[in-house]
This record gives sequence, structure tokens and C-alpha cells, in this order.
Amino acid sequence: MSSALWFSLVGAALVAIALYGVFAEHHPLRRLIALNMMASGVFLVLIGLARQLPGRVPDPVPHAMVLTGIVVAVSATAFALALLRRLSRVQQEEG
Amino acid sequence: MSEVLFIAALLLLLTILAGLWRVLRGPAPADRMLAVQLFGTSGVGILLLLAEAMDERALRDVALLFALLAVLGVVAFVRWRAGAAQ
Amino acid sequence: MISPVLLFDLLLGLSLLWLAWRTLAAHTLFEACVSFIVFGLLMALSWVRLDAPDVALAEAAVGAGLTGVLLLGALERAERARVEAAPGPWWRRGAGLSALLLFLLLAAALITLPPRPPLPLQEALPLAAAEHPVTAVLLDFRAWDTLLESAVLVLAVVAAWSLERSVSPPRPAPVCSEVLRSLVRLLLPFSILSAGYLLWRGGHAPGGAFQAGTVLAAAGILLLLSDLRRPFDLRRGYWPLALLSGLLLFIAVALGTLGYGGTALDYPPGGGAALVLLLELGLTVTIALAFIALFSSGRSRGDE
Repeated sequence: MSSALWFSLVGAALVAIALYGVFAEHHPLRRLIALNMMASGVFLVLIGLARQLPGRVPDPVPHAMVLTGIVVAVSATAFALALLRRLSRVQQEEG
Repeated sequence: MSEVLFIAALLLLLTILAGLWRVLRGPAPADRMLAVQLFGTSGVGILLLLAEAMDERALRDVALLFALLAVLGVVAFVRWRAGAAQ
Repeated sequence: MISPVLLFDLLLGLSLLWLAWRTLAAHTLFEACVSFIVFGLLMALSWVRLDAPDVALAEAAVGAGLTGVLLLGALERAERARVEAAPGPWWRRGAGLSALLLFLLLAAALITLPPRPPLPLQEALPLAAAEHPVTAVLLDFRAWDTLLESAVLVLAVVAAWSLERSVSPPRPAPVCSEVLRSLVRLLLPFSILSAGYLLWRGGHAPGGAFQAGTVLAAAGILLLLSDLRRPFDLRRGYWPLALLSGLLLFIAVALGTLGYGGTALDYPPGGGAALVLLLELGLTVTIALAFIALFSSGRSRGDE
């Protein structure tokens, strides 16, 4: 088994573990972490596939997609944390 | 030569796994955070070894970022503890 | 005999999976956050092993730096949030079963995937405006994606700002120790230098606006966490314009190339490299300021 295929399979397993986390966890912060983990799994699958091209040079298109994905994932996480903060504030006011 | 470097990197990875025990067991939050901080250093070591073994100079830049930014987590940690203590 | 290279990859992959499980099964929120920071560190090593140094650079800045700060910064509030009741055992079993099914499907698809022919992209690369393939894809072949990505970043900032209750100035940073102050004084110039270095390298080697912007953002957040500078409000003065600079530059270049050659973002011959550098410069500023704004939103005086 090539290491590219191995890391792709690890990525697939990460997506599955994170999916379980998103459904089975109940604290919003834990769900958010699970979602981030799922994104990492998807990125691993993509980069693993990029490595499986014939020749020594990996395919740059998935690399560019994952770079964009990482930046968008962080901003989405930060926005979700802002939502979480707002939620806890509203709960506090309701008493 | 690259075999030897990979064995050295493997050993460093094993030290990270040994340190994970401290991260998972704690008991104090500071214990966990300090272990994470040490991983940053091991990570730099692994990256520098891989940079030679895989003949990829850009990995030294990754090591540079590790060394520069690993401290951010600790600063945030201290702020969180200070906020909780208030 | 199993080779050390293979052993390294196997061990790295297994530790990723184990850590993912431990993160989800952690007893406290803090434990989950710390496990996830370590997870990001191991992800960066995996990118290295997959010959993706560009992604490894971004992950080193995001995973090892920004995500940890964001999560730990939200911890205080999150610990106080009321949560709904834990799902029942049948719900958990169903979730586990569907996760297992998903893994089997994905694994089967990955194993049976037929080998792909070399991409036509390899022939187009010498014509690109940047020497480094990933930069060429990001800012030349698929520049539209990058334009929209900077729009997504700005949108996230606007959305986070709209959730804040007041427009009061940010809370002054608490008085911090001399250790932290000297550390920030020492690290800040190096971070800014590294950001510039990564930006410049992006044209011909791994690096570029994404990595430079994240490093710059980390430096800015470090500055905010210390009390070296009076907290600044990114919603006032010229800051919003600076935040938009990457997006505005992108739109200007798109309109300019549309008028010049008839196709948006199709760079004129000979001018591509300069335009790409200009776009990367704007993108670096937008990414850095967007992350700083997202980090500091919700920390205003009226919000706590």
C-alpha cells in the first residue's frame, strides 16, 4: 500500500469518526471541533489523491483547494464561536 | 542516509506519543499545556529531519513557523486561566 | 523488514485516528481543545509526508497557532453555556452505524479508484504568471475561486460584527506580566519578517498570501493579547478599507483585464507576475485583518 493511499484511508476514517462526533456530542463547542476534524479528514483525502498521480510531482489543484479550504474553515469556525458567544449571552439574560 | 534520518524522526514521533500520555492524563490543565508546548519543539525536530530526508527545503520554513507560533497557544491558555481566576 | 519510512507513516496515521477519538471522548472542554491543538500539529506532519509543503505551512500557522487561540479564547463563555440533554443510546448507536457505513463506502471508493492520467495542467504551467504550481493555480488558473474566497472572509467578519451587541470600544487588555511583554517585543518583528519572506517566496516556491496572512494575523493577535498597544477597533477609521483591500484589488484587476483583453483575470502577457504579486499583497492584508477582526469580535466592553 502506498503512503498516499494510507493517508487517504486515514482521512476517510477521520471523516467517519467526526461524523459520529457531530451527531453524538451535545455541547456546541464539541460539535464545532468535530466539524473541524471532518474538514481535516476531507483535506487528507484530497491531498492523498493528489499524490497518487504518476510521476514525482503532486497535482497542484487539490493543494490550492485545500489551502482555500483551510482559510475558509478557520473563518467559519470563528463565526460559529461568535454565534456560540451570543447564544450563551442570550441564555444568561433569560436567567 | 535518509533511512537513518527517518529512524531519528520516528524516535521523535514516539516521544510525542509518550508525551500524549501526559496530555490525556493531566491531571492539572498546566500539565497538559506544557506537554503540548514540548510537542512544538519535537515537531520542529521532526520537520528539520524530514527536510533533509525528503530533500525539501520548504520544510525548514514550516519548522520556522512552528517555532514562532507554538507560543500563541500558551499565551491564550494563560489568558483563559487568568479570566477564570477573576 | 518494514522500512522506517513506512513505519513513520503508519504510526503518524494511527496517532491521528487515536487523537481524533480522544478529542471527541475528552471529559472536559479544555481537554478536547488541547487534544485538537495536538491533532493540528500531527496534521502538519502528515501534509509534509504527502509532499504538500504549501498546505503544511498553512496548517502550521492555523493548526498550531490560530485555532488554539480561537478555541481557548471561547472556552470561558462556552463552559457557561447551557446545553441540551445528551442524546440517548439508540441515537448514539445509529450515529455510530452510519459513521461506520460512511467509512466503508469511502474506503471502497478510494481503494478501487482507477489511476488517473497526467493532467493537462502540467503543459500549461510554463505559461502561468507564477513559477510555483500552487500559486499559479490559486492566482492565475483559478483566480476566480480566490476572489470569491476573499469575499467569504469579508462576509464572515461582517456576520461576526453583526452579532455583537454594541459598538463600544474593545475592552482594554488586562495588565500582563513583563515576561509576556518582552516575549511579544521579541516575537513580533520576527513574525512580520517571516510573513514578508513567505509572501515573497510564494512566486517560485511553497509560500504565498495564505501563509503570510495567517502569520501576520497570529502576530496581530499576540499584540492584542498583550497590553503593549491600546486595543484598536477595526470597525473605525481606515481599517474597514484595509480589510477590504484584497477584495477591492481583485475586483479592480478583474475589471481592468476585462477591459484590456476581453476576459476577466486573464493577465496581459508580461504583466502577470507583477499583477499576481499585487493581488497577493492585498490578499495578505485582507486575510490577516479578517482573522484579527474575527478573533477580537465579541471581546468588546459591552459584550462581557
